[in-house]
Amino acid sequence: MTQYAILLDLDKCVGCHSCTVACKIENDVQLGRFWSKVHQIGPSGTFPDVDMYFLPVLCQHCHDPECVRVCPTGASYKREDGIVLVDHDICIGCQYCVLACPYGVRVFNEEEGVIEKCTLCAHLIERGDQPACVKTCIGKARIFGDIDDPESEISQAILAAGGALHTLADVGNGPSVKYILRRSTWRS
Amino acid sequence: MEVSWSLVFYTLFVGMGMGAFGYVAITEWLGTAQRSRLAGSIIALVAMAVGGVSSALHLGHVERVANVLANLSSNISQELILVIAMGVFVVLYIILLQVGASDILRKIIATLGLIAAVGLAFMNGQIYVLQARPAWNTILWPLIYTASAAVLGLFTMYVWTAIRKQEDESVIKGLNTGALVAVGVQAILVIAYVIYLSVAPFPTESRSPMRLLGGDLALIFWLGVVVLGLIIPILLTFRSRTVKPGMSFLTTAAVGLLCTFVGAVAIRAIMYGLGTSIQQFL
Repeated sequence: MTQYAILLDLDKCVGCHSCTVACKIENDVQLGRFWSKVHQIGPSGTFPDVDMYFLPVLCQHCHDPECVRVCPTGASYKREDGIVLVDHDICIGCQYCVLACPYGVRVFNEEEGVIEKCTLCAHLIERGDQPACVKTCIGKARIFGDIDDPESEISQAILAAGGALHTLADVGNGPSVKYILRRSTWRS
Repeated sequence: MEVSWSLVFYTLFVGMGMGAFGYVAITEWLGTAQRSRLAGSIIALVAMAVGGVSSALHLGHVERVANVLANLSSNISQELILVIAMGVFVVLYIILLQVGASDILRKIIATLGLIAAVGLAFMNGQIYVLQARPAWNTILWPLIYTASAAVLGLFTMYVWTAIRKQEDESVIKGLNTGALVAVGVQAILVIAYVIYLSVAPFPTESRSPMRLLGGDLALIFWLGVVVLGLIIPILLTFRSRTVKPGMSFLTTAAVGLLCTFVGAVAIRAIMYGLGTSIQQFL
């Protein structure tokens, strides 16, 4: 099996939002909509012991995605390579998947009447390239690859992360995107 | 979360229709309210149609609605099947009434319609039971939607019966008692939900019961849900149980319907207000 995913090293993320911009440019995401966002978590604590980090959030391409389970049309689907996509020719724009997704990463395109989201730049991956957010990251905070392949760079990095490895909230959906955070306390 | 008004009115009108037809089906078994059954069935159809239009306004591609049957494990797909079944049973029942079909045949179709009506009202709420939204992830929501359907349907039929004055007083008193019981059940469910919120997993300020009791949702909760949606209808129907024969029930029925309609809108709006994600940064 293959499960393409992204590992984000938050200790390297400077919150520049270039991943958000690269995503919008590569995928022609219209004004006001985002497939990838960077959240600022904190600051928390009391001076001088304050803490803050940046948390880029995109579709988590879950192992058992709630969006796919609830989609009445089958427009939301998971490919064999683990990428979760939306077929815009089938989607009726009921937005049930938006409610079911824990991460707020699905957006309703009002002009086209369909749901859109991060595709992990599947069109780039298919020609051997990497997602735009990975390529553009100035801190080299992102690693793209197959987390089901133990020899891959991403799997090795996940293994090395140990207790510093985190995921977003998991209600049984199994988010594939992983985060490394050592310098701050995980509060996401 | 922003309130989806088109879905609020979809579930509200569909619920009203289910409650009205549920009442018709029960009168089939009780052998009462013969002169209200056709009206109740037509009210159910009209309410479903209004709800359907409201639902269509929510969709990005209503012309693709047939695609909804592609994933039968989805609650929305199951809901559409129940809507279709409901429509078929109500139309069949109307035809049986018009052709003077046998009691047993009418009872069979009415009972099937009752099952579909309860199922559809329940499914209207079940759709929101999602793990991603802890304040919604409870069976209390489908039960609240089902009780709401009963309340709205009974008060609608109560108004119709009080206006037409074609039925015996026992029929209208039965409606009064039924409405009282349904609102009472709704009150118990609302109290249970507030308790659930206080013990629900993944507590945060955005899902705190204090938002209802004394926070930003307090006005809509106390005035909309509690006073208009529960207390006034309970007081009115309770009072109407003990009045002298021959009294007009129309005031109780009309004010009760208006109040419970507002209460039904309010509880749905509150549901959206509490529907924050399990993911804390959202």
